[in-house]
Amino acid sequence: MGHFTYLWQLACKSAWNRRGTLLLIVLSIALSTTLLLGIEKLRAQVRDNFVQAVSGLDLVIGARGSSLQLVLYAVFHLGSATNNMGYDTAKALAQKPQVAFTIPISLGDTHRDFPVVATNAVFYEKFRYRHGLALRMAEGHAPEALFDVVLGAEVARSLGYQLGSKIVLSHGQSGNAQAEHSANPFTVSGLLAPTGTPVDRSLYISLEAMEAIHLNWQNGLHQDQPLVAENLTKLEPRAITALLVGLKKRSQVFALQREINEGPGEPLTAVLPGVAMNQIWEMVSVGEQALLVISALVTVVGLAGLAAAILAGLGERRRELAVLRSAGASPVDILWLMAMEGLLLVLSGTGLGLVVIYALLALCAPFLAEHYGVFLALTAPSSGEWLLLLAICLSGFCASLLPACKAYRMSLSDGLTVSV
Amino acid sequence: MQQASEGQEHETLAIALENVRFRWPGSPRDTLDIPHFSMSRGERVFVSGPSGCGKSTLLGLIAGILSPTSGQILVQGTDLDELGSAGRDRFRGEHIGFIFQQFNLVPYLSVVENVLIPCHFSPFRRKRAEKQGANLDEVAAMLLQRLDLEKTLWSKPVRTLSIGQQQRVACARALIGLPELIIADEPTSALDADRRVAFLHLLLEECTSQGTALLFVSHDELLAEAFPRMVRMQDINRASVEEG
Repeated sequence: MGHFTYLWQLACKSAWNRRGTLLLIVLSIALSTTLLLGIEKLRAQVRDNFVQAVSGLDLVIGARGSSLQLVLYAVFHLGSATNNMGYDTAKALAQKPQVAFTIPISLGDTHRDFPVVATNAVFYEKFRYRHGLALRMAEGHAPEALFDVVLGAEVARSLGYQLGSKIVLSHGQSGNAQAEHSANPFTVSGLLAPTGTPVDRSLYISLEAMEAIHLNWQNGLHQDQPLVAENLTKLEPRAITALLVGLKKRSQVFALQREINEGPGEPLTAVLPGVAMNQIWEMVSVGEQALLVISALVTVVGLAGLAAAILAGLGERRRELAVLRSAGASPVDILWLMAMEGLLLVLSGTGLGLVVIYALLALCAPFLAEHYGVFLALTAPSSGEWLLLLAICLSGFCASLLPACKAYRMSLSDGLTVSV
Repeated sequence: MQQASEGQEHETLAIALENVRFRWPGSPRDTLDIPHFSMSRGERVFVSGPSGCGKSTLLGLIAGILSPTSGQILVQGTDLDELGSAGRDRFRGEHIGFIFQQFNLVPYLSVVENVLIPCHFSPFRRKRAEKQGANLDEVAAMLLQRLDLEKTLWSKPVRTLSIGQQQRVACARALIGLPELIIADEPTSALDADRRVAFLHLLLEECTSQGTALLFVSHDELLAEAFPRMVRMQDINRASVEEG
């Protein structure tokens, strides 16, 4: 179609001739695109971070109760404690032939509002997040002495702790000075690298240490005392909050879940964490959608700007269009010319936006991963992102049809000359 | 087409107006009332008249931009009324070249590109132009040379050209592809007095050598001397109205 090639050339040359004004439109479209894609990428990332807070775990087991509450508490350390489960039961579960490993966790204490998690060495070895990433020590090592504590990245960063810092844990959720375990201070032995999961906001001690600081709290009375040597043998815990279980074969998960949920003995709840976390995400994702709506609105504003700027520029193009008409262009040609200009602007705007978002990702990804554990992968746009881009281009093209129709009517009424 | 006897009579005419009336919507009076006006093929006619005598309306009717309230207009033997508006657009592109008082050129195109615009919108003009020389660029170059535009100007942005040079580029564009009719609407009004005659002679020369009919509209009757025939608007238009 030689005719359309010629119209396209005319549209490009005309746009280049007015590049000063049009650059602003291209920039505003690029900005909208960057924002929309950026939010979409971040949203996908946050969702992934959330849903992938644990990976490689097949079951979360706790005392019988609400499964969502169990996952919220065991994985995100949110909400209040459910009942405990017996440590003997946990040990028995670990012996089952289907089970590859178990990670016991015990919650309840805090330090400056960060949750304290008591667990064992299996945690550092077997815990996985984000599609199978292992925990990594940025500095130091897992607890070796009884009162060693390992800090999540954000805890260390926001409280300014280093290896060797002495810290005191608080009993329960509040930082109540009356309920401090000040007789048995802990020493920071290790700092975990950022993960972008609740691990970053937690402190990790051993199950025995948890037992030790509560030895004299049996009656609910505050009898905080230093640990004495004769008590060292009494440190095996009687109860834990939850047990995280990895199986040898994933296919066995439903059978084991049913066995635990319905079996005799201690009443327990076994939850598939992936399913529960997707359910929780659905509940909190309202905010995510609001974010998307806002960026969509920004895009609409950008495109309205496109239409407005082209409309405003029509006045100065009246003569040019009339000249083309007198040299044989039909009003439909004028319509095409304007529509092509809109397409050109939208395409270069979204193209520029795409370049900017990837440049930003490349620049910021190391920083975000280092400091916030947010991993933004430099992958090609997903199908959802392509759809967004297509939507921007299409709606931009539609927006440019408005001034195109105006130009069409104008060229009909102006005829071949413009009386200026 | 209903072209019996009267149609054949008009075959030899470039323009034929019969009982044409035109009234703007909402206006109480006719702007134009022309019982008869015609121009032979290849004829060069000077139309004079003060501003507001309906000149622009007449040109709009002949160009097919406006439709007469009543009456018949034939251009090259074709009744414009029988063509749709798209058909009139095409017909205009194929058979009529235009030169206006000023702002004839597209600012972002080069001189040669400006000359070649009609060839891109009308395949008919393009075919004819291609027969005039080896290729389109060469035909444009030939026309520009004949119109006394030096080669050094061709690659310059058109806005750096003087008005006289711009009008000659517009001439070349109107002439390319051998349209049968050129409508020139006050093409010399923006020029200096001494340049007017020179421009006019170049235009007349080219129209004569191409056999193109020229309808030249101006309020400056001094220029009429160069034309074999002069028509006053007030002589052909029975409606006398002020119009812009």
